[in-house]
Amino acid sequence: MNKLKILKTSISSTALLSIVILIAMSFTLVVFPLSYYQSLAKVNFEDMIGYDDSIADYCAVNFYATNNHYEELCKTFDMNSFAGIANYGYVQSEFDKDPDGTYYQVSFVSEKMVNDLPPLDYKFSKTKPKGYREAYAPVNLKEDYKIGKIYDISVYEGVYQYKQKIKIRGYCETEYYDFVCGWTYTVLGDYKNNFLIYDDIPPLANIESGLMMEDNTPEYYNSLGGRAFTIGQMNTNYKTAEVNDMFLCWCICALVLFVLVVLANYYFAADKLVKRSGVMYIFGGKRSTIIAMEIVKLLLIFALAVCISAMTIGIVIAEKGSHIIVDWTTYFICVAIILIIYAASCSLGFVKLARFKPLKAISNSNTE
Amino acid sequence: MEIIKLNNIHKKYNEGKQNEVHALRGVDLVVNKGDSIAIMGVSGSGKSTLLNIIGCLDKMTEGDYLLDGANINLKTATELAEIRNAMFGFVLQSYGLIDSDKVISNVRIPLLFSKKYKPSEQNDRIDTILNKLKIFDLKNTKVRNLSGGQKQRVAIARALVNDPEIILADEPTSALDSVTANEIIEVLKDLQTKGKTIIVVTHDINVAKKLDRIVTIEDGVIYY
Ligand SMILES: Nc1ncnc2c1ncn2[C@@H]1O[C@H](COP(=O)(O)OP(=O)(O)OP(=O)(O)O)[C@@H](O)[C@H]1O
Ligand SMILES: [Mg+2]
Repeated sequence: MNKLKILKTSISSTALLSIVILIAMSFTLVVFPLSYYQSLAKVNFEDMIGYDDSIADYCAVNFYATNNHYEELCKTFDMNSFAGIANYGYVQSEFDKDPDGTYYQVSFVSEKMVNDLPPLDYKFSKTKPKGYREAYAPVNLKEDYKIGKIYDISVYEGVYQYKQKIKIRGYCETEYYDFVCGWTYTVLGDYKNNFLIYDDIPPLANIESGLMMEDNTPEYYNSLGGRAFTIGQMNTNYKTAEVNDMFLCWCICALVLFVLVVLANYYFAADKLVKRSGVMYIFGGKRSTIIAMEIVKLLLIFALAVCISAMTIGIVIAEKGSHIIVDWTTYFICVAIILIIYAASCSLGFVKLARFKPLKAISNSNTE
Repeated sequence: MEIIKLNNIHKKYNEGKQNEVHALRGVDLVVNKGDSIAIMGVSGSGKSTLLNIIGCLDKMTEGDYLLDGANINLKTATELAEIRNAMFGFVLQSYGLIDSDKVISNVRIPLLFSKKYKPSEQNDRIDTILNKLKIFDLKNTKVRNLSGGQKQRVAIARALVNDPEIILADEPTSALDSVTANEIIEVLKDLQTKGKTIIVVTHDINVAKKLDRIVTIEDGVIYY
């Protein structure tokens, strides 16, 4: 009974403080998980789109050469291990009805890619057929290039000319390999406006990047003038690079604010609490009970804030919008983190209170 | 009938440390129920220390203390808290009130721990005691808005509200003018007529003379 009364006195005597802490904590318990999920928590959940463990040890290389022609690259790199796509000229479809004129690029799929990587949706025959080459056509040209039929295709004139008969196997509707390790990391890319042809790569075709399927380190390719990462590294970097700076900022702001509010409030309130505790001690309170009730009060505030924020988070999660922006796991991780921070922030003031000397407390400060 | 019996009490602050103070050096004192006693002495002589030990606020370093026949040395913290609540009414040096609270909240504190008054009786009890001390009208005033004499009355009301056996007052008049000081002493003396035991620490010989007995303390030793 005593305990309840001490608790009640403690709460009512620090009502304002308790409310301020409660509001700050509820706010933080909502903002922190939301931004934590957006900026940090999500990061560990997803691999790069198209990431595959079986190729994790191979290097993706960006060939930063002055001349990215296939024949030039062959001088420096072992292009037999090159799994990637080489671009050649653009064809403007004679059937194109688009007045702006969409250009469609002729691209070559390397042998290594067809033979050693999972084919995804692009099922080229491993051996090149006689008399024609297999190809996938741009999505927009479905009308003009029919599956199973053979068409003539030609880019450039003279020595640069590439001229071939292609048999359409399908359209470039889904993503195919595109290994890039520049500003962004990707494994897959979009080829909606390309003719993807499985043919020998012409010497003057342009190669920006690709996967080198041999046992070399990124350092090796870097020393040759490229810029390389293993697919595994790329995946790790991709995951950490996904951190959303804005939300991270919110995350930190919320926590800093929270610490300030609790620390300052509790620290300054402690003087008053010390005096009240001294008076209570003198008139029949037990020291340990007074301190224990103070802990109970602080925990009550926390529990109440958890209830309030859990309801808010519950609404956010139940709101099945375009995408969920937080989950319960993240929320409870954040609750744990905030509990630790809360305890740390209160500790300075609390130590002051817990060491109260009843006699000093009341004789020293007559005014509050 | 002896209510307080102190036998060879010693008190050392910061014992064993460089700044050790031997504040009480073998105090013997017997107080009978219904007595009124003034403790006098210069500043630093150990008056407050003695009062704190009598009131079970502080532990003695050495010696025996029998309160109403019971050995205080053998009491647990819980029992001591109950003793402080039931037996003693403290009037503290410089009031010891919580200035930001109302008079009634200050006076209520001893009742939070009371076994004498049920919660349903407590409001009546507070009203009675405020009336007796002529501060009923100030019930809902914040302490910081009161005069010195009014504050001391509130402090006494708080000391009396749980109907203690012994009133311990540490310099209850030192902050007051002589007229107000006399009023306060009259209030305390009036309690004696109701069988309470009064122990007052004071510098003021005029105050001390109004009480039955004066004991003098010098450097932690009592002279009669
Ligand atoms: N908490 C404490 N820690 C260390 N020394 C203390 C403590 N309280 C009192 N003392 C010392 O004990 C001695 C007696 O102090 P006490 O407060 O009992 O004196 P007092 O007679 O009440 O003086 P005053 O008239 O100034 O109130 C003094 O030397 C004082 O400095
Ligand atoms: Mg003193």
